[in-house]
Amino acid sequence: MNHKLRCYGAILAITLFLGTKSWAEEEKDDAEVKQEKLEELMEEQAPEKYEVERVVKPEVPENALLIYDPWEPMNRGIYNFNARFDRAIFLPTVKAYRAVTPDIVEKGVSNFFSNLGEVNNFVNNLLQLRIQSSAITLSRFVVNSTIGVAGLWDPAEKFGMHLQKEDFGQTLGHWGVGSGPYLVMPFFGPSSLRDVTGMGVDYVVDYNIDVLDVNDDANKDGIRIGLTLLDAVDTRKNTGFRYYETGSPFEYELVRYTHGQLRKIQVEK
Amino acid sequence: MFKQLLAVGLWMALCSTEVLATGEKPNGEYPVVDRFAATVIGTPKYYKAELPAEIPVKEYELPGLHPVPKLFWYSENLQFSAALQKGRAPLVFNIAGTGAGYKSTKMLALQKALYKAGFHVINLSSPTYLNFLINASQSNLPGFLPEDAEDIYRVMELAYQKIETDVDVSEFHVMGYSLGAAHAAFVAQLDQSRKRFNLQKVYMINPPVALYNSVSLLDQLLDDNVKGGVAGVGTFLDKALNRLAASYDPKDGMHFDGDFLYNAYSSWDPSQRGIGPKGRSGAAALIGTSFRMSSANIVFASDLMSNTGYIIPPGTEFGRRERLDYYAKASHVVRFTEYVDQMIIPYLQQKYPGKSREELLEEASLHHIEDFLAGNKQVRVVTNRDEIILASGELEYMEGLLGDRIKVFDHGGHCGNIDSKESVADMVAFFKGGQE
Repeated sequence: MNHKLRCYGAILAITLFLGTKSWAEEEKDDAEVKQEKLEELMEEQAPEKYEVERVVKPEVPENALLIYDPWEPMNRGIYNFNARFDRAIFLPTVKAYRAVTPDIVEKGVSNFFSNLGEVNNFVNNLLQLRIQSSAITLSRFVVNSTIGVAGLWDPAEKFGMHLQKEDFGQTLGHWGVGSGPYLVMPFFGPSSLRDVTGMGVDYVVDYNIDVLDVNDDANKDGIRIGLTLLDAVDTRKNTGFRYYETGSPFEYELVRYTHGQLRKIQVEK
Repeated sequence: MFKQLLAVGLWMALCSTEVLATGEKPNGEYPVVDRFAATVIGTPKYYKAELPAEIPVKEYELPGLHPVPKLFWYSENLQFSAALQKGRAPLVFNIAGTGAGYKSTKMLALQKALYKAGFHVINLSSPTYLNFLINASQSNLPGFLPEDAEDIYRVMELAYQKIETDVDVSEFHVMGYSLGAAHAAFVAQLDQSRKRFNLQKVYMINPPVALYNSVSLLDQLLDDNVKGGVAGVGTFLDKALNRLAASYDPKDGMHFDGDFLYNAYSSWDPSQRGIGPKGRSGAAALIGTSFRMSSANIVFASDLMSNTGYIIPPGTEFGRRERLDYYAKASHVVRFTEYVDQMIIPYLQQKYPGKSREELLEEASLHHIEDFLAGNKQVRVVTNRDEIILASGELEYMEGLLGDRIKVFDHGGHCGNIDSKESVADMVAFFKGGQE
């Protein structure tokens, strides 16, 4: 659900965004840095040519931040796009949403989408043969959809049934599929080849289970787009990360490293 | 169908045993006694001062001093924030520590505490923070306190101009933590001749005495506590994360935050808590690693901005999508002391011919302004007995210099207790003292 929502949000936003085009133009001269130019730049960076002696010494240590990233130039481009999108549209939207919405409603919206997400959590816990987690997820869904009034509250949490988050990327990881190359997705941010595949599968599952019975509705596209946008705003609201506030020129590398570690732990847990 | 679900839901709710569970609230002093662990963990929830969840803060931008290279496209203009009271009140300029921005966790906590106590608060990034370094550092080589103070002073003037019409200020104060505390003192001293603000009070939280000593100690943490030095950081982080992950279970409703770290730390066998094989401390290794990362940031950005040619060939232009591998590697092997000795000192010696390295290092220490500190009744220092950035004798030096104007807590390491009840109370009492 989340993913699909965000895809729609993405498309809409792109349309909006390209309309403004100020950055797109700026980015244009960058776009001309094609493969050739990149290779040339890479070569220019080669240590034996320019760098101070300390860097060329064989004992210069490997840096943990530097991990396999064959699509780095593309990823960096998308990372920058996301940062601009965040600043120009996403965060202002979140800010406006927060300004007009009482906190209790915001919380309700978060709970609502989290509750819808239980479908994927259940399927993936089951696929990983995590029976206890599947049972908890099912119970959460039942409790929150009823006592929690269609998922607007999360009483299950208070009863000690904690969220058992699993996605298909984690399921693949659980069964031994490696993460594959790092991939930055437009709007979604850091991911990997495996996890992007997982997102697609989760989306299809979600679409077909269709908890909200949207597929039979005459206005199904409208409803989906609305939900997608709201979910995207809600997700952004709950995410503390802000682009380019680490104060590090190596933020891209830091995020890449941290994301990889985080997913590793999530897969293992 | 819905009724059945409701019945099942209610039944499960009633069967749950955890409904009435409540948390125990411990009382007493700041609890983390290992100085490195305290520095990493910070203040556990129940010991934190009560601060508002949100206060009205506005963010502002000031034009930068230098053209911003493409690679740093995201950091045009200097940013700062202000939390302003409606009526007349004193204004506190609050300066961040090494590598920290105006929005860092510590800065936000301090801003909230002072705003709650009725002050206007302007939060400024450290001159060592990328956004400040690029936009507001004249030399782009931050770390030399007298020049940093000039830069900060200029920013304070512009920042105040920016908000002047919205705010009614009765008097001005300045404060900071860590490197920012030393900056605050230098700024206050500068204000004595400039007289722009007529700064009244100076509050310094965990300041270094001689900056060079402090950065040497922090550099040393990585060398002493990470096996293989910087080359071992990857392995160390893997191990540390695995160890933490072993205690971490998001499915138990855990959140990865300071309290989790504290709980994990408290649950480990005391004999293994901090100290690893050969006396290595995991917390110290983490501090050393994060300090090295701060210094790598500074080295790379300073070099690019100032065209020093230390690791980046002068004239190199980076695109926005540049792969920085070589530079990331090169920057991370540079110690902060090497940055001082190989980048700052040569720059200063060129600018002030005839000054020796020793003279310059002395100018970048509190010794250089000790008359100001000793003679000014409105200067106050708070620090911890187990502070990690003070060389031996430096705490005693400050105690001798300041007498009853220094408060020394027993535990907290470096700024670990910055938002504890006691620390915040001390700060508020100091700024409120003598007010009607």
